[in-house]
Amino acid sequence: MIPRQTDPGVDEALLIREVRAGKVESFEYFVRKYQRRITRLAYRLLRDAGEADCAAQESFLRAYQNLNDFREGSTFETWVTRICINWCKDRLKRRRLVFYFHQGPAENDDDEPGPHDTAAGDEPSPERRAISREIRERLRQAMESLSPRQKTVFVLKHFEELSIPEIADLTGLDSGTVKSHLFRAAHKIRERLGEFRKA
Amino acid sequence: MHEARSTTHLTDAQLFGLAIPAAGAPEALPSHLSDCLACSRALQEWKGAVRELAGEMGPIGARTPEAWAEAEDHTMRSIRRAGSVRRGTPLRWGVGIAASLLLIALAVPMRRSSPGAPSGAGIAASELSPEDQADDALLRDVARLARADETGGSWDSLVPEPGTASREEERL
Repeated sequence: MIPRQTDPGVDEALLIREVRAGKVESFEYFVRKYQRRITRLAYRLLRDAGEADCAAQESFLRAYQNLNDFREGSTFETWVTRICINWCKDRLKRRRLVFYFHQGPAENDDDEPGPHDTAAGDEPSPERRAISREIRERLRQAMESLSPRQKTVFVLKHFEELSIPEIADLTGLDSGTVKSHLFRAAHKIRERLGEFRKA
Repeated sequence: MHEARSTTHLTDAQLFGLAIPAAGAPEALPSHLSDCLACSRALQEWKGAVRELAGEMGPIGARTPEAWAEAEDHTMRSIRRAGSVRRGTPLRWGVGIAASLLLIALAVPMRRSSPGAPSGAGIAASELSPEDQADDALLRDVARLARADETGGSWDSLVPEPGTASREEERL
């Protein structure tokens, strides 16, 4: 989940001051600590490992270059997450513009144990796995119909499990607008699921 | 998937709505769920599928610590290549404001001295109507009098109105 509490043993504000003063190596702490989380978030939004890596790297680079714009009241993690979300939203918009048909994860991805599979004590039957796979595929396809902003808000709420105020902070929207996007996103997915059913 | 369902069973859209409530808060379960084992099971399948989709990380999920370290090293290399941190916003704004002021300072005198700029003097008297010409003459008089007022004494040079000259002489 994002954002989390910062490491109590490390003074991030001090590290940021060091980086601003020209000590680039102090920035490594942030990369080592947050790059995995940022990459995972980007993957949830983009569903492409290569693009997720690119999004994470670009987010850290932008965060570094614009470190003087970082306000002390915020946490570095929130800030870099915001940069990453904006990068992913731009990417999703561009995808829609060129009508880039993006497939979900590769077929063999389903063979990897998900958290649900590993958490369950008994192994699910092949039939149940097939049903689960089909539902996921339908959901993935339905989510492709969402606008970049709707998708971002939906993923942050239901996959990253963030609260409405946290999403509002990260996206720069007010809480009412976040709720509205969530409602519209869910409505659109329901509609798409209905269309699949008819088809 | 749920081909054998009767029309009274919950649809995929309804199951999705229960698995992921639009408002974020859990919605009231329809009474049908307590009677129908198939729909109850289907709802659990939907909830499980949503959880799996959320946790699904594709190739990233299978990445080894070494692969992560390599990705982080790659980021650090690009940061080192980028050089130093950019100057802060206040300084950038300052430069922007200074540039704007310089442009304004240059543009205003140019506009004043521009030969194409419209001005009353540039319009030929023949192009004006008689009323406008009379107005212009009046304005010129007012301007001339105002200038004289600033330099002092010129009001006295005006021809006195009839009857006021004798009173003026008496006062003196």
